[in-house]
Amino acid sequence: MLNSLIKHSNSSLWLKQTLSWNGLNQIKRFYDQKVVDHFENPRNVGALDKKKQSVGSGIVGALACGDVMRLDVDIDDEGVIKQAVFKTFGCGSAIASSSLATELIKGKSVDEAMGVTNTEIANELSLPPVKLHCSMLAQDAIRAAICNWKEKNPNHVCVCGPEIAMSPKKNRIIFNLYLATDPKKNKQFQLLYMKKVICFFLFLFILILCCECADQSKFKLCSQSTFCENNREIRKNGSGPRFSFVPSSAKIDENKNLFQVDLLRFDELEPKLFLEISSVIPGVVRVKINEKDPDLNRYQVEGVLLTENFNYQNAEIVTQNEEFVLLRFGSEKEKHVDVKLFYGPSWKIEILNSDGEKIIVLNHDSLFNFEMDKKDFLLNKEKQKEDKKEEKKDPGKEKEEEKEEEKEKEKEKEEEKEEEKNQEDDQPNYEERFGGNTDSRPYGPSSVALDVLFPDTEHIYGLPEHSTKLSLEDTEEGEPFRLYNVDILEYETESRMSLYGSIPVIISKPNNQKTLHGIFWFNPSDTWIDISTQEAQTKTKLFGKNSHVSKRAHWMSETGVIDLFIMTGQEGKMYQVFEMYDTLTGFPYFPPSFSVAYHQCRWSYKTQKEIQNLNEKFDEYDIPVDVFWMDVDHTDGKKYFTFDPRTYPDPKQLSKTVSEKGRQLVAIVDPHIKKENSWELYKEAQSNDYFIKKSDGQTDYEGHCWPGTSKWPDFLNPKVIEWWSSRFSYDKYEGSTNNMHIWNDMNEPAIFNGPEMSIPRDTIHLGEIEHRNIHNSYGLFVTKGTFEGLIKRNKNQNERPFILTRSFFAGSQRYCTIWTGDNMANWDQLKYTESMLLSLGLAGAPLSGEDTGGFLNNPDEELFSRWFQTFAFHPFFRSHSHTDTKRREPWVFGDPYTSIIRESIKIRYSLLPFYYTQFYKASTKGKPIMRPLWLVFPEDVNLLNEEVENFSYMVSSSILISPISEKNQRSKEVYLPKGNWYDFHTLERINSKGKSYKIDAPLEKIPIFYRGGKIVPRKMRVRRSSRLMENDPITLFVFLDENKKSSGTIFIDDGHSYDFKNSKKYIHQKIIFQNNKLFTKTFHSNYDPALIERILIFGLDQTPKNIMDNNNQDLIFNIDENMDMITIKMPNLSIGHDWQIFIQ
Amino acid sequence: MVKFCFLIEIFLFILLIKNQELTIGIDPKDSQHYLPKKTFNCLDGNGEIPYSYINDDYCDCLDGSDEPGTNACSNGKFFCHNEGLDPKKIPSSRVNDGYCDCCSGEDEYNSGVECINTCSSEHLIKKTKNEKKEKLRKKGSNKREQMINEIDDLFLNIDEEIEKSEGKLEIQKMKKEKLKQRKTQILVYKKQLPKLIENYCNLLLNKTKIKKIEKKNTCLLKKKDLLNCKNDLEMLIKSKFDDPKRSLKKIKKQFQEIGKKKKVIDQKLNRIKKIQDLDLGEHFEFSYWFEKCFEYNSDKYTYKFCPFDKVEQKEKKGKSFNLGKFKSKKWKTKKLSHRAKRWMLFDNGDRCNNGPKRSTKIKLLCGYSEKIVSIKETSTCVYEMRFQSPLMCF
Repeated sequence: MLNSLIKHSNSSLWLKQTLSWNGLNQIKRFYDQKVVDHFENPRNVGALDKKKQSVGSGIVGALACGDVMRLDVDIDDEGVIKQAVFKTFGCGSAIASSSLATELIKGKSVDEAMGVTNTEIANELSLPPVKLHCSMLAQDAIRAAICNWKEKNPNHVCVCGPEIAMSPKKNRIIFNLYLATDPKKNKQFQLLYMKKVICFFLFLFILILCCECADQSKFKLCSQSTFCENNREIRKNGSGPRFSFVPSSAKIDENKNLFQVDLLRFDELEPKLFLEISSVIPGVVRVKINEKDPDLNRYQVEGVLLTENFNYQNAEIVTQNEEFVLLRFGSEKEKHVDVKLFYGPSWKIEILNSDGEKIIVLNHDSLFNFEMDKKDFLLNKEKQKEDKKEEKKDPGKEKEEEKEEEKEKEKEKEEEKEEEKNQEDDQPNYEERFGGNTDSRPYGPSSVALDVLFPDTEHIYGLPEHSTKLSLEDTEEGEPFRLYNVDILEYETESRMSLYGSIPVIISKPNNQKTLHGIFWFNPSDTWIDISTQEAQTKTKLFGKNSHVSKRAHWMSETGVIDLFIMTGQEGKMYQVFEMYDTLTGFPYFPPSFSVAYHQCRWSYKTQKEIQNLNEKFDEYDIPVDVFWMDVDHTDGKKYFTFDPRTYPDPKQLSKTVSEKGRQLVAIVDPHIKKENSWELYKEAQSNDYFIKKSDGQTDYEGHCWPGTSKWPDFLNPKVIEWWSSRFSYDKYEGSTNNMHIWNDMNEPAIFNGPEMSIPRDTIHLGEIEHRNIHNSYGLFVTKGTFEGLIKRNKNQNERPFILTRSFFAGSQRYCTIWTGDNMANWDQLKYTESMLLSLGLAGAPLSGEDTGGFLNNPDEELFSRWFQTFAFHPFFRSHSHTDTKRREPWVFGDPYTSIIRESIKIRYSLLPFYYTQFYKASTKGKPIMRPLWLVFPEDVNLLNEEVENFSYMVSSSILISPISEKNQRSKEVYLPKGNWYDFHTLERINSKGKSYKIDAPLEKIPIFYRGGKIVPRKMRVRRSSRLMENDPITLFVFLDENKKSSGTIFIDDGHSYDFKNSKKYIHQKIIFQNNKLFTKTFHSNYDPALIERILIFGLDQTPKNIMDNNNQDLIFNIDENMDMITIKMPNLSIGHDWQIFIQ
Repeated sequence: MVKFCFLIEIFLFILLIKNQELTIGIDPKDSQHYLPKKTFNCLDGNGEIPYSYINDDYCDCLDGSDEPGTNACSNGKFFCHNEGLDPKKIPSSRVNDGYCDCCSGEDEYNSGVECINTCSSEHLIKKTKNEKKEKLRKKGSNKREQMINEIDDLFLNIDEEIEKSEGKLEIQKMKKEKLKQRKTQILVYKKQLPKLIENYCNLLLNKTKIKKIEKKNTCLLKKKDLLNCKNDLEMLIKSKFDDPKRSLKKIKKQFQEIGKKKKVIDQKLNRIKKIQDLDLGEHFEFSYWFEKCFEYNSDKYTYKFCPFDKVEQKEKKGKSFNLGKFKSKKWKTKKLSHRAKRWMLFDNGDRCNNGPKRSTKIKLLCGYSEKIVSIKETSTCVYEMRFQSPLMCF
């Protein structure tokens, strides 16, 4: 028994810990005495005879903490509970909860017992919040047991019934444990002893897991995921299935844009796979491998790509022989891409640019895998289905016959059942167990894998979301990078565990080249990626030996097809790859201008009054703010789309109050729907069958989330998206207004008692599609529905939505802004979120931010201030905190900290015209807003090896920010690439030779530099909200480079509507300084011009005599010679008009 | 002539407007610096600018003093005259931002927003509010006087009381000491008694010494058996002399009595010593709250506020939590006279699940009756209670 336990734990560390009695003492300190008492002396342990009419038995499981609970009740004729006993496999809290539950319900009537709530149990035991699920479990167990009794005694009607009871079959291990603790089969003494030992070990085990590294244990390692381990095994042993192409099948289709060829496995006669290569847009090659004639179609998720109607490039076969075929896509000379396909036995595909250089090689190391071992199983399943259909037809017969046949039928059925059982036993069992959950995997293994080589490349980036260094590290020694959207509280830095969202994109930076390439592995199922470095030595005549470092990514996905987009950049074009990726998956959305400003959030501002108070307080402390956020507590019992009438009695009035100061509201709307039959929204979804189904495909899946028992809408169903979006209309979403915007949280989806805190993979979506096929894209579809809803709620459909999401996938950038989830208030997280955001930007999601100040734990004054100083430069700038943390509105810490925070926020507001322009550029060109330095300075090789500790980033290509992420750090070595840099605070110039400079960083400031050669538009009149600054004049900061040149752009529109698109009402202007002349170059000007109140020119190195405009009008100016700054006062010019200024 | 007059009138009018524009937003205190001259000196002394630069919607002075009436300077201040109500200064960023900050609306002179002048109505509201407040204060203040008069003398002469009690305690201690000495004497006697008797009887039986004893006790002479002698002696001691058992019983009783007395004095001493270190106010008026508790019922809980002790929260049908123990070091009645510092702090209460130890801040307000006005949880396990009392009506 103990051995088996030890095996389960998989760790020798905990054994050591369990053996020390200190552990128990600690438990005692953590928990209320009652918990310890109920744990040490559990009451009513045991089981009753389930076959007895008077006995009801309920088995429930909350496997979030690995708990399973069985509760049996014996009920007399009058409906009074005579006896209640339990058996629980789980943590101390679960054991204590069930023990208490049996005590509570004994002697109560059935109805009274049904009324026992989890809060009663939790309060009695003073359970900590992380353990509340244990009490919920006990509540559910009581109800399940009573309902089971009611089923047996149908004169009672079953009212409730959270149907999370599980079939015993799936929990064999657990039942074995029960047996060992069964008093009937063991001596009393042994039982007690064993029980105590087991409980104690389990208790400690769970406690250690839950309290210290809870989240790690809840989530799979590669070794716990069959397909990941198998594919890694292939790599280690070279044991993968061998395939080769069938040259005779190679052809280009009628439209002359698609190349097709069959793929044959060595041990088979007929090719079962085929490969397609096309170029969907210039420079982008799509490689797809799928089954030829599948028993079951592999699901390819729709709605991720922007369109399937691509601008396909012309395909032609350039050369073809026995060994390979060379394909060319695109007719234009310099833009074509070549694909060289080697037929095999170790087949590979090389993607070549127009100069014939290898960009990417697929299957270079023959790690290709395509699992299909499911045919027999499926045939059986089909048979069963047909049988069932026939059965259904039967009831058409007459009654008499039925009566006669009834008995026979029953016999038949029993026989059938036995047969089925036998059949089941014959079939291969693909079940996968983890953390007490069982994934039925009815379709067997279907993983796909492929290796991708990036030749002559030392650095690859991407694969968000991970809190690791930006440049992807080799994973051979540890875990692969994982992409599987989960709700992971208290995530660690420097970990390759999956987080809330995933974008399967890798961006590669080839050595010594000024370009980027990219790979988009279009597969939303659970995906692992191993990264490794390969060194090859080549001999050249001139230089002797030459070593080439290449990177390899080994992609492994649980299911689906291989669908790969290879984006090839041209030399000198660093940003081309982003435009290509966005052409495939959509350019980032262009949110309204208020979203660029500062957001104030907390879980939760619990009353309307509290927000009204904030609305005043921010003014009192003269701190600008644009948005107040309403977390889960604003709803009526966690029913989204509602307001709690007691705490938010008049949300419309609230909306009006904040909008008077130009401010906005954001309300949370999560995709879990409370199971409450009296709720109109639930009823509507229920009656239309909109929820995700259990693995049986029939009954709705239910799980635990904020409101308790909940269901999840099937966003794969277009009707559900339509329905969801309709719920945002002002008449349905009562209390919502046009200045209230939406926050989609928990959309991984997060489920407290689900496997890996999410939904079981074998749940069923519309069209009998298993959830595993689409998992990573669920969050994307939630935001899609929300986006459409926010468009539709305004009659003119002309207002731009603002949406924040936690879960995301490729394509999410079209609908929403992303934040990095529940981070913690510590220096380490401050350090790593920067690279998380940079990685998101590189993978096509530039609109992102995080919880400034850290969601969990309490930051000290210094950390909090530093956090604001650097995060004020991130695209999305919101402060957020957990309900258990201390208050931390900007003024809480007092001066000097309040002043530091105020200054940081005001800097952000003064830069709004600049940021808004970057948002616009991102939405049209896909350019990241936050950029790693190497992206802006690709020729500077020093930058590629940047360490996190010494790290800086750029906003666009104009401002360099070097965060301070160490406590008590008061100066920093900042590397400045060659050129002119201007200190943001002092405006002093550094002419850098491309080296590090020691920069002071007192508490009041962090190192920030303007880049010479850039013009930055600012608004220096910072108001209390961005909308009140709309008509304020602009100050142009002109920073000259070493050649006395500079340029910058600015975009202006109304900030909230689609007029810029629909009626072209906007200004997009470039401002250029060269040859002592400042002038405009207008791309488009069809909006109210914005007045320029001041122009500042830095780095001219000469004292002008005159400054004149193009009407030969002298302009007033003054010169600060110390700072080499020329200030032109009120030049009477506007953004939107064309003008010139001459400096003489 | 009429025309001319008219023109002059217009001219004057324009001048007036112009003048008003020039001086808009200026604090009357500083108005002498803004008198028309050739140049204007920035108020911080850093820089001299042409007079025409004042309120020209461009920030020239570092301290923002050249733009008192516009929003051009980020650090400027705009002076609302608010005629009919108190004047106030607002950040210049609120000038012409579309939101009326001055009750007069004078901050929105060029934003297209029409502000309603609310100064007089606000003044009225403020006035009635202040009057009401003042009335309440007076009423409360009278009650406060009354309460001060009712204060138990105990609290007025705490030090004396303590001295007295300590004296009494000393006497009791001395008594106890004496008693102890006697007790040991008796115990020794009790222990020695059998031996004494035996010795005595031996002596009796020793003829040489009989005569001496004869004189002392004639009755004993009649007995010649040692055993009989012992019994007789014991009987005699019990009836005539100090029986050690009885004496011990008596002493025990006396001990108990002293103990009781001591306990009473001790209790009193402890009680007043608690107050001794407490700041009870100039007139010892806060002794009024000593050993008192106030209750408040919300939907879910009953709250109990015991001013110099603790705050408690009790579930309607459940357990109670300590929301904080009184932090006497932070309690200074001198600070109470300042408006902002009327707080009583309680911390180190029961620990929250996953959170900090519970703590409560009590805001003390002036009111006629003594009661808890409201309570709220500002963040998890941090409470804020408002409590009113005539004692706060200064």
